[in-house]
Amino acid sequence: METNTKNMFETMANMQKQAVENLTNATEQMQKNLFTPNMVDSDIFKKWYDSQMSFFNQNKSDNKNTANPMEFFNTWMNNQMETAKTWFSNNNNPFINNMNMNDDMKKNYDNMMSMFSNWSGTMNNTYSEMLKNFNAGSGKDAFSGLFNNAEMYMKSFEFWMPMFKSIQDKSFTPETFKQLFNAPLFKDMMDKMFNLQPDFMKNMNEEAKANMFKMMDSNKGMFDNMKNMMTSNMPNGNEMFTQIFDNYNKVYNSMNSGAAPLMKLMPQGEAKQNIESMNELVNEFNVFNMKNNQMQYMMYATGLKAIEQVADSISAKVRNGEEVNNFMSIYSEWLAINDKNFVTLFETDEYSKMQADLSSFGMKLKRNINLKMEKAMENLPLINRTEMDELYKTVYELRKRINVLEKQIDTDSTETVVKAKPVAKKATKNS
Amino acid sequence: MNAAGIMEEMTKTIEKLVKGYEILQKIEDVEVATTPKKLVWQSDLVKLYHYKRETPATCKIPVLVSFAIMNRQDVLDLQPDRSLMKKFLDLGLDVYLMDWGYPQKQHRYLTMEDYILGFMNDAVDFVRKSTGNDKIHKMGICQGGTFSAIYASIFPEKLKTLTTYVAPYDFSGNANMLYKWTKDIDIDAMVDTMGNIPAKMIDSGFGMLKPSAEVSKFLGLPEMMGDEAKLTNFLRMEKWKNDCPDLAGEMFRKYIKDLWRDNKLIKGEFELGNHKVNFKNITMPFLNIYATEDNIIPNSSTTAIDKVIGSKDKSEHAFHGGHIGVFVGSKSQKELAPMVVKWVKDRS
Repeated sequence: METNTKNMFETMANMQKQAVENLTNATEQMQKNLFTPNMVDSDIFKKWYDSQMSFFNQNKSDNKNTANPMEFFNTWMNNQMETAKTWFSNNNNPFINNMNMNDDMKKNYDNMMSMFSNWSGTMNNTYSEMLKNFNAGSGKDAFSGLFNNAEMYMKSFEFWMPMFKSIQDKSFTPETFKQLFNAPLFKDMMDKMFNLQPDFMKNMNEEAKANMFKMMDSNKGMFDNMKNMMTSNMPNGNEMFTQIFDNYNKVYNSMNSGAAPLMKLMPQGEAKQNIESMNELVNEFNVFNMKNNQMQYMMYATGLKAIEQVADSISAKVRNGEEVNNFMSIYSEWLAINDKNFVTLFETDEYSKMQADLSSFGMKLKRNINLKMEKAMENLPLINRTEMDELYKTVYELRKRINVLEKQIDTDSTETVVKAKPVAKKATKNS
Repeated sequence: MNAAGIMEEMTKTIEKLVKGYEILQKIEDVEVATTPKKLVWQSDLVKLYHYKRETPATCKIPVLVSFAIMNRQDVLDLQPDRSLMKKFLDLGLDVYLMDWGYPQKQHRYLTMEDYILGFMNDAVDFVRKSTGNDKIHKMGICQGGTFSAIYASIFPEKLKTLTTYVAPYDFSGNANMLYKWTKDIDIDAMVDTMGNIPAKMIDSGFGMLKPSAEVSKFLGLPEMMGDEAKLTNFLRMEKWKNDCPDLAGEMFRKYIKDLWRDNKLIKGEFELGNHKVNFKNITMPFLNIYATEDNIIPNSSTTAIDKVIGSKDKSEHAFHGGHIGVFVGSKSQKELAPMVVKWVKDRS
């Protein structure tokens, strides 16, 4: 426990330092770009940090408190909550003032999100470190789940945060949602959901994802274009991806045709076979990646549809004069609407076939990579997977044979005592 | 909703995490399956346990229970006050439980024949011989129910009764999207490539029936922190849920292709070894239990067997609850288990 306590103090101290540095930088940047100089007193963060550190130092040397690190940590956390609350509630805080300026919402958007991201990111890092202080077991698993849920909740919170003001003053409309739609955050939320999916969906091509969302993020005004493209292309038989596949196949075939005369010049042998098999592997890899992207596209398009429905629902409530008093209700509604949309997607023939295709391509690729690896290492004194599988099969068949023979002995035996395996014999005598 | 209010709401989430950290770190690993039992038989990875009784059983014919291969049977004895096994003991049954084990790489060649004609048949024979009964009561849950029904159709002479809980028999239609997926997916490629099928893959598939479940179930966790009993119940269930064995490749291949994809079982076209499986051959009394809120196995899939089974003494029972609740929930312990035990005893 002493080591854990020490680790925790060090972790928190480092995280605090990092948080203050990030927040100070963000604030300074915000001052430079948007606000009148000196409107924000960045010393507030220095003071905050100093007070936190003095608290740490005091507790580090105080055996009574370190004996119960959680009691200490709770006090620290309460302190921090109060600080955050005061910070965000302060009427002189330009952050809040600017939240009240509807016409300037977009102007402040990036700065606000930057500060929140730093704060929540720091919190997430702290808790990731805290997780390391757990011993393996049920508590660790549950904390991990709790933490993942909180992370998801905070991502969602961050996504909706710029819209809270308009929800509060009942000016929120689908148009507000489109204006403040944050593509990278939406991607993060979807990715958290994708972590719940099978491995082949987890292993999505990061580069392709980045490109897709670079386009989405390049201009928030592109929301409509992106949405229209996603939603209109998908029901029309994935024309976009069909086109990509066709183009790829044309290029691949052209390259092969171009290389064919050269390949004919090569003598038959291992080198030629290697080139051909590598060519085949690269092709399989590309086909798999394209399918993978298509699957991702389907998932993101569904996620987009779901979150738009949440926005519509909030907008309807606002129109009807209903109060949206807390974020948990928005979060819960989003989870429910998301489930409904994704289950509807999963039940479609398109999804089933897409998943089957992706699985099939993935398995083929994995099998071929395994075989290539075996081939590459065939001269090393290692037992490869194929050989082990043969061994397993032999063991399996021998074991079956033994079972048959044992049963024959049982049948032939005149003994009336139950003939079973050693464990059973002993147990029967004792029971 | 105002800036300070929403900030406070968010920071409260953090506070709940802190509280969770404090309490969960103090909890040692929770234990499941603690009702005393003894290992009485083992063949390779499969084990048979006999539950210890303090008093003689009031039902002389023993009961052999088989759970699904894709989950652990520990859920039948999750905790003392939510233990189907303990309840059966309390109500006078002599209970044996199969443990299918954790297939390793070397088990990839185990087939459905090995599981049903081999392990299950050997376990039944062991119980019959060691207790001196020609016939025993057989119970099966979920996939264990399907396997038990297949067994019962091949060896009807060895069973006194058959009881199945939430077992899938008819895999047609789209009531369960997983049934639909298996119509498209290339099972051979999966087994040939991976050997055993990873538990995570199966679990993820079932998870997609309700994608947010893994997140939303933790929404209520912070509120449980002040209630140690509730919290440990949650942790036990989580422990069980995370403890999934991989599936032996060849068993998976036949199970999914013949049953899930081609639906041969209910059509009377399924073959196991040299046996043609025909539910008309099940002639012993049969009790079929389904859960009205089952989101994993559609009710129509479970009840379909009633039209094709040979038993004249057959009963169907609708349990008002979900797939897991049927063997874990308090209503299951209070109402369902006594009904099942009475049904079994009446036929002993």
